[in-house]
Amino acid sequence: MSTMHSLSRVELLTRNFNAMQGLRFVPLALWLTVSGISDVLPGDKGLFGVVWLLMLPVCFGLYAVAAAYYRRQYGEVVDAPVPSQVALDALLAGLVIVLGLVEIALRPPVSPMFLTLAGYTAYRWWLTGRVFAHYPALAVLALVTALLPLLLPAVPRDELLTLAVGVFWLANSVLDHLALTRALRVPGEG
Amino acid sequence: MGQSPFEDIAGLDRLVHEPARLAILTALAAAKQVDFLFLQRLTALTRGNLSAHLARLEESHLVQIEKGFTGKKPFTRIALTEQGRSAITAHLKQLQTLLDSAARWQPDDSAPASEGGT
Repeated sequence: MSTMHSLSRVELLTRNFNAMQGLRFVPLALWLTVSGISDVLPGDKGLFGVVWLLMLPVCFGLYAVAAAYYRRQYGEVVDAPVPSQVALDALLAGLVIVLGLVEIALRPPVSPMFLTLAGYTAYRWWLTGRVFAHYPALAVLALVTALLPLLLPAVPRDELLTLAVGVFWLANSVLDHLALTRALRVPGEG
Repeated sequence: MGQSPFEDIAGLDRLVHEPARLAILTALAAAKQVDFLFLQRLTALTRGNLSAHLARLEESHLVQIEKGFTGKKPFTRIALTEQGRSAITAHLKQLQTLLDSAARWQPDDSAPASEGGT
């Protein structure tokens, strides 16, 4: 069965090549993480807030730089005209924002946003042929984060919410990038 | 189907079944279009080898190759033709059928023993 397994890996890598270009999202995830850290830390954030806002366009610029890096190093794939993944990712992004607002307003005993992220990450693992081991690990991380308000009710959840999303996004982006670069070989990298 | 699934392997289309070309066609079936560099990274073939396989596939009308320039930078983009899509779909189906029947296959006890048997 190794032939079919290799072929399915080739297919999955091609189909998910654009989605797994994690470095593109690292600046934005870092931006969010830093924002989360600043929420947790006490003190006046006047100047920090200005710098933080000014960094947002820089992050989008770095997104373009990372995209160019992937094009130069690994080439380009124009996805097949079944943009279900793009539509699903956009839907998830919208859902996460809405659920984040619901969470802040209603303070449910478990985080619906992180439950959604856990489910989506598990789905993504299944979608990519259960090949990439970081997805189940991230799904567990999201699930544990979702249950934190229940397990540790004393933790200040509003302050930690942005930080948790930023760290999760950062971990996902870096691990996606590593999985992709391990799968696609560049001559001279062994 | 022949007497055993193993005999049917001989009937596979060699143009498609060659490992590098099979990987190229499988990748192309999963996208609208890919560029040369991506295929090179994916298959770990040398430029010359990949070019030769693509030329063979293009001659057989299974892929179409678009060459051009973006500014001063050359590009080579490859896509499956309709014929190529049908060929790889049929081939993968045939391969899966062969693997399934090979897994289920039981040797016929009434058949004469093979020449090399002990």
